[in-house]
Amino acid sequence: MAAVATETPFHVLAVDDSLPDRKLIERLLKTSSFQVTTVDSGSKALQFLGLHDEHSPVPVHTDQLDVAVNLIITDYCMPGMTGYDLLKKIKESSSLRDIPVVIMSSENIPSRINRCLEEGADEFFLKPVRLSDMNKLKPHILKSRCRENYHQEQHQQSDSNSDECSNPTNTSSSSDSSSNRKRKAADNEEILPQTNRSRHS
Amino acid sequence: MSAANQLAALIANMFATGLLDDQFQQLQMLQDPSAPNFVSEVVTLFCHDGERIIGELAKLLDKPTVDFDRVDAFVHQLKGSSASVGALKVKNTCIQFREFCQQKSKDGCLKTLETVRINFYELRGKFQTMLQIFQVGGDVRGGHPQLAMGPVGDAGASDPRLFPQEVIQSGGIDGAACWDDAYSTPLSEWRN
Repeated sequence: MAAVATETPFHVLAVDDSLPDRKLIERLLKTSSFQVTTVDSGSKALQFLGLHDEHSPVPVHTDQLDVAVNLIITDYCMPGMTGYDLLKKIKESSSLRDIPVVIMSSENIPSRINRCLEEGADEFFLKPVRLSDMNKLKPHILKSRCRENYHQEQHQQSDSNSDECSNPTNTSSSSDSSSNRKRKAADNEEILPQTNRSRHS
Repeated sequence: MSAANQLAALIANMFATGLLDDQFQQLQMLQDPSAPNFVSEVVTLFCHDGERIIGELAKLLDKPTVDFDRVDAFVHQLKGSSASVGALKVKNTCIQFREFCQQKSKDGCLKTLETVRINFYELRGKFQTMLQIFQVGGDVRGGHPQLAMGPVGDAGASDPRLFPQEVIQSGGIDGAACWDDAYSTPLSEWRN
């Protein structure tokens, strides 16, 4: 494995309102040596991730999560909060936006896929998800760890340059958030020019 | 005929008659000694889920004014779970069903609901037989054949030969390639 040495398996949070599908994704992930938590809705996912709802905004930092989540995989079509809505909320959160998100859908709709990728999804799986799809998950987890390390280094180096530094984990203003998101998208383009496009080519 | 052969013949028949597609093989691949009842569990969940959805569809289509968006949402759910377990015939009927929803045709929806019902119960019957053979086949390694006939509870580890694993060269992701190759001629493998 890469530079990250870890004894504990990566932890994936899987979100799907369909019970048979949850069973399947759980088994696929466990077979691929992930630790898995499954929930049946976007709001339960946010609860698990430590994000409070809009009515009781409480600043949350990653160290408030009981268990670190290394990747979130979510169905697109869910009642109430869709996978896309969940993706947006995750990317808007300073504590969660670095967690890679994978969207699953049974429908191959290019505009939907593009929308998700533009919002920051790292990968899009067509359902039914297969064992071979699980291979695509670890690279995203490792990439986000590299990016985390890079940002931490940046923060350390430019401690005195307050106008330059925009460490995503400490950012609170919305304008900084959007520039971080854009920079993140640019990073994605550089690092993985093909992966984000392959699904709908 | 041994339980293993009965099961093999049943599954082969379900593939041959278009009830199942290769997604079911994906499920079989995911079953191993660490998850010996995986296929039974998913199949059972699918059967319960399908029955629930069909009930909801019947209620929605029974109303004087039909909410086609809600009908479509349920059909979409059933289509999704059928696709996930490899229930090809049910999935295809769901696809037709959604077209009638789009057209807001109550007649078309009612007729297709009947077809879904017939196809679903046909599949469910075979799945139930599958689960019964699977459980009676029991745990050859452990000793006693399992007597429970209901959905999988503590049915215990199954004889791995019942969902042939020896065709898979190794556990994990690499096994996928071998499994697909083996399934190019499924019947000859199953006869053993």
